[in-house]
Amino acid sequence: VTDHVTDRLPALLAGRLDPEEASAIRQHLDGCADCAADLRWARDLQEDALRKGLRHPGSERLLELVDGRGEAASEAEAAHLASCEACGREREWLRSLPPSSQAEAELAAWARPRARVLPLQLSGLALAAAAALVVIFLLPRDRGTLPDPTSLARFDPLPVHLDRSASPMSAFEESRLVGLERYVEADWEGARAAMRRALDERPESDEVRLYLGSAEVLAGNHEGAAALLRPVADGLEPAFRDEALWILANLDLAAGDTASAERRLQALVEAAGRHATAARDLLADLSPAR
Amino acid sequence: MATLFEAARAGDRRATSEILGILRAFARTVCRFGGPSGSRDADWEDVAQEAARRFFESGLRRYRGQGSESSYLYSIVRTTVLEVARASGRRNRREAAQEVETVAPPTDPLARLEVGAILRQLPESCRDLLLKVFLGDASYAQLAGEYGIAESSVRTRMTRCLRQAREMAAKGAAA
Repeated sequence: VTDHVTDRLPALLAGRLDPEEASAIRQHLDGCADCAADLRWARDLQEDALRKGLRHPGSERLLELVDGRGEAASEAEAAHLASCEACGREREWLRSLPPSSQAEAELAAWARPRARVLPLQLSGLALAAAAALVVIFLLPRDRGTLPDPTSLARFDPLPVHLDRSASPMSAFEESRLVGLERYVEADWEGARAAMRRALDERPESDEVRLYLGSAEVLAGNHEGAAALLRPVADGLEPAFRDEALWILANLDLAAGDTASAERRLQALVEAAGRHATAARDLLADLSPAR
Repeated sequence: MATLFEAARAGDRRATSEILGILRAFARTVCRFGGPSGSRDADWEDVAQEAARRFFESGLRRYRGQGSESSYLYSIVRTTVLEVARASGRRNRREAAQEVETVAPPTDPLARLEVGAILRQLPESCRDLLLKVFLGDASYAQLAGEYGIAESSVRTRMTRCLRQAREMAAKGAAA
């Protein structure tokens, strides 16, 4: 950095610079009396304002303090935090949230490949049926062999989506949550009833339509499922759209509508999302079958 | 194997989609706890969208392996909820202040600042800019939108105003 850096000082003070830029600016400050004086003036202004409650520590700084990361509070910051009610409420709220380790564990569980997660959540006869489907799913397929849509329609809600700690819950939230819980238990009737109540409350919810559509497939109602999933496949939410397209493509194949399935699979390949590779493989399988 | 963030930096759309999914999951979790003011003013979809904007605009560039990638995304969601609540609080306070202005004029922050007298001598445009940047943590992009000028002009003006204020303070101290 050879030019003066005064315009970068607000970002430096707020910790908003990436490490390389911050280091280059500090190097400039070591050799430039004018910019160093600017920094001192700005820092004094901020500390004075902080001490008098005219500004608050930034949200990232507050999180650092709650998580026990970063530098210890300066004298001005400590004085502010000791007396500021708003910051006290924010810190209490941050402490009330699940810690990073718990959030990470939930994501790790979610990120496991579905084929391995699937049998863990079923029991009894359902487990035996699922095991057979997983074997089919994992074995190398002959070109032209179509998958059973039922084996592909199920997915696992994120554990964080099953959180019951919030209260009070709206009628929609309650029905949605009961629906997800029944879904995880493979109680398709229960899941469908609860998700239908949720959909009555909020017909535009792509998430509810997706789970309800999936439960309909698993209960054998393919037509009902397709009607629920079509708007989701045209929606704007990429993750929901991809799941809906994937199920619909497999329903098309089960119904013998290869042309429609290919259009949906092509859309999945182009979206480059979670099902892109599987969609490409399936398209390759379909080519010689036509 | 490239990490999720490395893949996103390289323009991998699948990685981007995964990151959006994680941000959405965290936003939903955090918003179930209500806002820091006890209200439920933060809609989780708005939070997820704002968190994604913050992550792809600057968070991804700033990440240097401080904690795991998912912890970093979780931090972004938590700070986003705080920022959304703060912005909402500021808006409410402004509206309340407008309603009661005739009864109780708002407290003048300049009267309480050590450099308040110097700031008062500056042109109003300079004073407003310095207070917004250093006390309100406003970004140049926000201010460019507010003033209707280019971001580069805000940077230049801020540099000039800060220098002017600092030199006035130095002269005052010398006298």
